Amino acid sequence: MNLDPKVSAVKNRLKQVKRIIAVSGFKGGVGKSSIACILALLLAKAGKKTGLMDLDFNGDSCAAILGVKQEFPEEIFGLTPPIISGVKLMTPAFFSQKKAINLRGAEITNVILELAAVTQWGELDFLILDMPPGFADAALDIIRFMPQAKVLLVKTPSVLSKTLVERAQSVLKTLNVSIMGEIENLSARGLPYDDTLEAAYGNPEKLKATPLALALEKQIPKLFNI
Amino acid sequence: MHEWALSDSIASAAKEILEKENLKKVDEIVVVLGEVQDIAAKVFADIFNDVKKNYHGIEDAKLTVETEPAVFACLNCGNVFGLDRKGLNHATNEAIHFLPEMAKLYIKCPKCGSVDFKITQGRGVFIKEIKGDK
Ligand SMILES: Nc1ncnc2c1ncn2[C@@H]1O[C@H](COP(=O)(O)OP(=O)(O)OP(=O)(O)O)[C@@H](O)[C@H]1O
Ligand SMILES: [Mg+2]
Ligand SMILES: [Zn+2]
Repeated sequence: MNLDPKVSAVKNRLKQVKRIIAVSGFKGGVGKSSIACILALLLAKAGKKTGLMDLDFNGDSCAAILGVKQEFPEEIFGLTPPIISGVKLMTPAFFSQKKAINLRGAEITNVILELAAVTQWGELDFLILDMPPGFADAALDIIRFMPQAKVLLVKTPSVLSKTLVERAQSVLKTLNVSIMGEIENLSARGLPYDDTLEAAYGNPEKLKATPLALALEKQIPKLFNI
Repeated sequence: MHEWALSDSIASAAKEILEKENLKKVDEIVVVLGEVQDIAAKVFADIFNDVKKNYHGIEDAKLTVETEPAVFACLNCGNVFGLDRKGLNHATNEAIHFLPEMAKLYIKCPKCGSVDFKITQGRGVFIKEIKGDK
């Protein structure tokens, strides 16, 4: 029969999570990770119980953005995510000792499942997922294992981003995944170009005070109905 | 206490099978533990026998544990090799224990030195068989 028990375990681990938001952009480098991290910090600041899971195994960046040292999560009935400025964080960085993660598609699916099966989030209002770019195995598998996740699309005014987002929307439709909102990054109408961002990486308090964060904070009530 | 999460996932998966196949109860669960994940079979069984009480229909299930040695196959030179933990420190063993594929970050093919290999056997925990009454 060869049944993988992890799939069932993931469901149990996510039972007390109210909303799962997959921050995705399909194009590389549009600001998904920066926005996912800052969004998580802002939700926590607003008093929401918030978790952040870095699912970009080939290019994880949440630990660097939030300035987390290599820190092995505490083990109690699984792994307890450390809390960074109010945000419960789980990332492959805790296991990779700063090495490049040289895993192939099916292997990434396995580790994502394994990590989701042992992470004890407890009660959460929001679990923010930092998604890998594109529609490779990992992105599709995450959607399959966490069907309750809703996508927050990050795009830029570039036509290159727009065409990808349009194609992504039609794929998501066929997969029955709902899009909960869109954020336009690097745009006068959305989140501005922010030259203070680089210096704020690694420091959650500074990140929350960047012009990018202030602009994002204004969008939160409408995006999340809170 | 990773064993708790794994034992619980076995019981929970067995419960799903019970419901799907309309079984009255599960009599036996055969679980395979792979060498890479390095689960302590005794600890695992003890915790399982405790955890199963939380799952109706699984309470009386007998646990049979089998172990499977690790087999890696190099995608560069074709060499087939086993797991050698020499030189792996505690943190590394912990990382591999939680996420077996992370072995690829810390182990090389002993013949050609490539890190591009596949775990073909002995990865982690899976349910081989579930026996029950209709
Ligand atoms: N609003 C902004 N202002 C200035 N720089 C930005 C802004 N948004 C993103 N960047 C910069 O763009 C780069 C990519 O950002 P980030 O890593 O967050 O994107 P990503 O979509 O997660 O990338 P990947 O596809 O590689 O995961 C970073 O150097 C970041 O500092
Ligand atoms: Mg990213
Ligand atoms: Zn080799």
